[in-house]
Amino acid sequence: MNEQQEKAKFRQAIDHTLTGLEGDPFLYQRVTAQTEKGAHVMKHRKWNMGLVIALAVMACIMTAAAASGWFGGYVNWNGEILPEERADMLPHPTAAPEMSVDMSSFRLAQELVMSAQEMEIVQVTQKNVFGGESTTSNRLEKHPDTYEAFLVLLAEAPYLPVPAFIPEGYEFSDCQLVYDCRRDGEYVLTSTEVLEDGSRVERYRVAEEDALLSGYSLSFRRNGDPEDYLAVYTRLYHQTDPAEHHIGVNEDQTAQVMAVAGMDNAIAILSDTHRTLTMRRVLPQKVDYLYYDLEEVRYPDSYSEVQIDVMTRQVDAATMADMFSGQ
Amino acid sequence: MSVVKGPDSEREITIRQMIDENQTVLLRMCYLYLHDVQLAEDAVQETFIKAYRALDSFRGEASARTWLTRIAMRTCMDMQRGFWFRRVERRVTPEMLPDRTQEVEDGESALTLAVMNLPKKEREVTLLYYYQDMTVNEIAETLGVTQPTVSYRLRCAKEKLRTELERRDDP
Repeated sequence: MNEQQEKAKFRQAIDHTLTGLEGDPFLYQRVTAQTEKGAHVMKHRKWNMGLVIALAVMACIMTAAAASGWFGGYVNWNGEILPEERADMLPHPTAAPEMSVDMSSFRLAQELVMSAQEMEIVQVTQKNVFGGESTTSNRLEKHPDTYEAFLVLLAEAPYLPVPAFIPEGYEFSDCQLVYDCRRDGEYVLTSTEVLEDGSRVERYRVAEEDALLSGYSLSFRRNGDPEDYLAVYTRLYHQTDPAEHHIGVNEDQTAQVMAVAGMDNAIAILSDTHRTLTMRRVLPQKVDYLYYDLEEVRYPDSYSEVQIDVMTRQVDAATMADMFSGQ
Repeated sequence: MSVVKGPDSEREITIRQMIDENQTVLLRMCYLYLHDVQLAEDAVQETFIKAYRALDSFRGEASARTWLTRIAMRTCMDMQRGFWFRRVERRVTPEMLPDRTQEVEDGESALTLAVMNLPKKEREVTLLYYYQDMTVNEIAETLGVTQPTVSYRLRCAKEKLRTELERRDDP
């Protein structure tokens, strides 16, 4: 079999297997609406899915493929490479409950979660093949339409740093604010529904005064260059041991420890095509809140810290650091 | 496809044609890379938004398919690197594949699964070379690596896929 025949058979196999994946007839309308009117016309709420997947991520099996060379290694905040024997000892996630629910049920759960209104949590509980239950849920979120509106809301959360400036040429694209519930508040169950297939759908809200802003994502684009973006992700954590935090570094990336005023740690992960600056600041006072999984989480020995990721293709690490220096 | 500059209506005609001709194959490529239908749909939408905005800079040096594939692959790579998407690769199993609209041979789905379970760097070159029919040079430019690196990763991937490819060769 020659190369062209191989390619033809390859494509045929893929296309036959993925016949259920076809283009969206309304994609053109969404693309032109998003680009010309600045409207948010998303078929899916992207960050919602990212967070739902993050739940699954925390409970996934580390595969042989991942162990054999998915990334070059791990470094800690000091840029020290984790020895192989210790890398093997990093917590290995267990099977994802979402993987043990059939795809159509999981898709239903995703659609229900996507239907959540602003500042509403939808939690879907389904039976899995192991005789237990699996849950899928979103986070409490707001989506300001402008950077100015974003800044107004961030004023409520002085513990979350915001960029001191935006590099020249970059324009606001979109943002997402994530909320949890203050420790002395509660997630209020507003409705429960059991579907025909046995799935249980619960909806929760948090009183406005109990909602605590615990993170955000923020993205910018530079005019004329579609692949030139700048993204910021910030998150409040309960933390116990920062030495346990390790950052994966791919084979084509280098890790560079940086000093950023006002941050306890900063490390840049650099490659020819991509740059990430991850920073960490310990908060002087603990910001206590209930975590999104709707069960009270107790960390009596924990402290609060904020982690900030800045990601971009074009902006250099020094500029990314300057954006948050002294914040 | 010729490069179109000018009034917005011409841009819209061009992007619509690009979407009609390419979105399905890009969606499947993104799914094979990201292992998730919703993420793949988001990646495809993001790809065409970027393409629409950059239409004036598309000079026709490469085909529209190649240009869009380049944007889509980089979008997928960025999504995977994102903090909130930082994840452990899950081994893909048959029941995780999207529902099909027609019968498919076991060997075909086995090959698809084998591709999805390749290490990320080998999966990238495999999708670009075998599914999108890009040249080694084009792949190197897309991924920001050297041509020997692309060739090496293709050899490694092909070794892993050899059994499935040879099975498909049986009459």
